[in-house]
Amino acid sequence: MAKNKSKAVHAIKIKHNAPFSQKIKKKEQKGQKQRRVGGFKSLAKFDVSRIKNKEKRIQILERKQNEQKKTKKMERKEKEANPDREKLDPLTIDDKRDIDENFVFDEDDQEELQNEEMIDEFQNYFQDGQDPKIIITTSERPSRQLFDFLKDVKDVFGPDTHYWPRKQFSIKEIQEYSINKGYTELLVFREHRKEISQLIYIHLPNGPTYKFKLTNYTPCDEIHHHGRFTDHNPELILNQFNTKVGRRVGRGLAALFPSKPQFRGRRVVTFHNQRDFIFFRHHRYMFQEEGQKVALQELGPRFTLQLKQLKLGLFNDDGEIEFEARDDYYVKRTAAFL
Amino acid sequence: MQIDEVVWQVINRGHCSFKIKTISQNFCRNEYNVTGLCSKQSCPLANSQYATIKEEKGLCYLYVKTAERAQKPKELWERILLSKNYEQALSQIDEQLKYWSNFMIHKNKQRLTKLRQMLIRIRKMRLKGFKELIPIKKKAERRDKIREQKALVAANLENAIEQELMDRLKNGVYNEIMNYNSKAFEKVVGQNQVEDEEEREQQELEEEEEDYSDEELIFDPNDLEEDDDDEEDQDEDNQEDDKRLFKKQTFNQLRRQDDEIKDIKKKKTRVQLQYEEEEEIEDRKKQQITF
Repeated sequence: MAKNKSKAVHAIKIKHNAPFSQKIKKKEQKGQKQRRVGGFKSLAKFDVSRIKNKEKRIQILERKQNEQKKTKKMERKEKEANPDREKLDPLTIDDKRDIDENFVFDEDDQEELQNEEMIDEFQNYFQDGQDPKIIITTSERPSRQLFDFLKDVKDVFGPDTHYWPRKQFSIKEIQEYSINKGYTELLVFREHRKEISQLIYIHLPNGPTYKFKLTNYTPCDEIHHHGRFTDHNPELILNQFNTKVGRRVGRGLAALFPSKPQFRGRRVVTFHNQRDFIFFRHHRYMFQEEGQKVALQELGPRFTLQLKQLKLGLFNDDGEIEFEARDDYYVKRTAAFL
Repeated sequence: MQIDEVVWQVINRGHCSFKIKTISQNFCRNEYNVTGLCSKQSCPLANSQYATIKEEKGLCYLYVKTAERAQKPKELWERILLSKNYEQALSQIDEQLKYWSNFMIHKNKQRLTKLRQMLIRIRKMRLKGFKELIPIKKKAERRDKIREQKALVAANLENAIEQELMDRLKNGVYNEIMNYNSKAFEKVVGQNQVEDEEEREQQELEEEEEDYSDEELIFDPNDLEEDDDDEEDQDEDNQEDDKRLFKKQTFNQLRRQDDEIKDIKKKKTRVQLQYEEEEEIEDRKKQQITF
């Protein structure tokens, strides 16, 4: 009996609250890393909003933020101490983009897409090689600034572009008249307070209407060391039109230019899409050092387009709206639909 | 009893809730008023015999009020549909308001014409289409502006364009024109049967290079005006660091390679060469003779 009692006594372990330094030593012995900051328990995973008392909450928030700063510093030092660490590229907004089902990865793979594009509104251009015939107008009562813009822009498109003054006609009427005269594209430039602001692009016989917002226009004269361009048909570069809607837009923009580029003229027109902003640039290029380098000289104007609406059918028809940039679409920074 | 005089004095001098006073004129807000102004003749409250014209859904009605029905406010205003034909409507007014004061008849006809003109305009605008007014949202505009700048930076446009062009060169899009990729170029030459033209082009390129050196030696006054000043200055400075200088030089070279100018210069130089040679020969001859 006495033996049993003694056993029982030994069996129960009595816990003592060991002082702090002893705890540290034990952990070190076990081989754990110590990040002792400020001598208190780490606040990294502590949810500060649980605390109802405002003063206390603010206090603890400050402490938490200080701790975070210090841990960041230490991590940085460690990183720099190791020269062999892997260097990763920084994440950009373009990398964080959600990938939809509408995303197009490889043109070659998508048979459906290709079939759709065969029966597209632009098949006359892409398959038969029909050159576009463009008519340019403006909003009513255009200002001098709009005319300056038109002077710059009109020659960029092919030889078959004509300007007609607007004169109180409605866009519906202009569409009718231009279809009768055999035009394939109608461009309407609009302004707001003497600054160019919008472009409506209507592909004529049945085609889709695009409504763009035009911003950041710099005229040819303001571009440093700009050149003067010739009549040669330009080459096209359409960059990063990634989704189905994007491809529609890209094809539409491509259909504004004559179908066969004349490489001899060495003239490039680029539409580069980045985060739903389409940048228009116009260059002349030359290869140097036996094809190792390219030199670019900027001709022509610069502007950026943002697609606001893509609608099937002509301007006034109640066509299906393929894409409309509503307010809530672009609230997120990573949102992009083209 | 309805005594118009008394009513008018009370309303006019006292308070009328339909009256709107402005600096130049008094208006009447009453819906049955013919003219819209506040005066004794055109006040619907102060006249027991009164008529107006009102428009509902594109149709004009004549509303008539007589003293006999003053006791029954519900049946006070008699409503008569006027015809859509303008002249018939006018004759209807004449008929209904026979023996009334000229003022009443005239004002009603005037109101009818005004309303009809308004309806015509409405129909025209419906056909033509209204202009859509879109609000400008400051917050969204600001946001888009900043995002555009950042997107520009992220796009890295010149690099992207240059890369694209280099890719096209490597893939052989330009092989008929540029001969950097000599193997690919020869392939193309072999494929096409239009060999003569391309051989001529090659020869021309070679000739150009030779002539180029001759041109530099020979003093051409026309050249000085265009290019040479800039070139000489820039050669002394750092060529590699200054990108735009680099570009300018290259495009001076480009210009020389352009067909027309090339031909003209060729002709010029050849002519001059001959001239100088002749001169030299003549001089020598002269010299020989003298000695």
